[in-house]
Amino acid sequence: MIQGWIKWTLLLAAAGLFFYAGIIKIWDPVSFMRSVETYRLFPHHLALLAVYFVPALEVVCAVGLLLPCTRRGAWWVLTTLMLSFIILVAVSWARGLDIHCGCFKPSQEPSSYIWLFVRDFGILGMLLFLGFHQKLMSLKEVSS
Amino acid sequence: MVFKQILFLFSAGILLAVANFALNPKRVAWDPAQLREGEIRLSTAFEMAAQHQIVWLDARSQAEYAAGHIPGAFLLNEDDWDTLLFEFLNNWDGESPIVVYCGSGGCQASHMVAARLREELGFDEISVLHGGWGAWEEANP
Repeated sequence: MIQGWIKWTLLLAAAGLFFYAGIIKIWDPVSFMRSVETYRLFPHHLALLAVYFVPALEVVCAVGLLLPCTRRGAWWVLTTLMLSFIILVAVSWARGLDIHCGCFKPSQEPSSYIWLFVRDFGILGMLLFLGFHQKLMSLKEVSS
Repeated sequence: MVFKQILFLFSAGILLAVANFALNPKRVAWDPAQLREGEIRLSTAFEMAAQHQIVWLDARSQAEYAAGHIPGAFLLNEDDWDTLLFEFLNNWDGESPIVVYCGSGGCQASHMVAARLREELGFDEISVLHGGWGAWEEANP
């Protein structure tokens, strides 16, 4: 009973977080493009692909996380995305760039690296907790 | 099993991304040479300058500004926003249109500074120079 509550609270929190993050970027791709360009890592067309595909993937996987038939796949994709974000932020930090994360809202001010790491590791921790607790994630149910 | 799920999620993501690109009125330009919202070309800036005084704002770093800038341009970047904004406001007449530039066509500092200025000053005649300092150097070798 308690595990059921924990499972659904974490699943809903993770799904809600990625759904919100995806929707605001889908709503305003121009602002998100400006944020992506502050990373100074991608050529224009690759950045354009990321600007349209990553938020769409976040929204689709957020919904997928709530459905037993796609939960494992969505978990893998979102966990990989979070790891990629963390690596991207670390690389930008090492390069001394002022980045605008653009993760949860369009921003005119540079993001704080410490805050980005705390938040991203927090979200990654939540996903890993879900993934490595088979009962919480109901992995056995889904894969059988 | 997981592979099929991931494939399905990627396919759905591609569909949603394509739909967003096709239907969203706030579309990112496919061609980087295309003017973005709020941008003007250097030729337009020259035309504006011929009609009335314009103010240039350099949104690059202090070091880049020191190495070379558009004559008369003020430095205003997010590294030291409050001090630089204060200096700029002391020298601006409050009416002249503002043109902000940064390093090149790919840099974002000028857009960030322009958006922040519009927000903080409530002044709308703020443009961003398409191509930035690179465009200026090309036109003034």
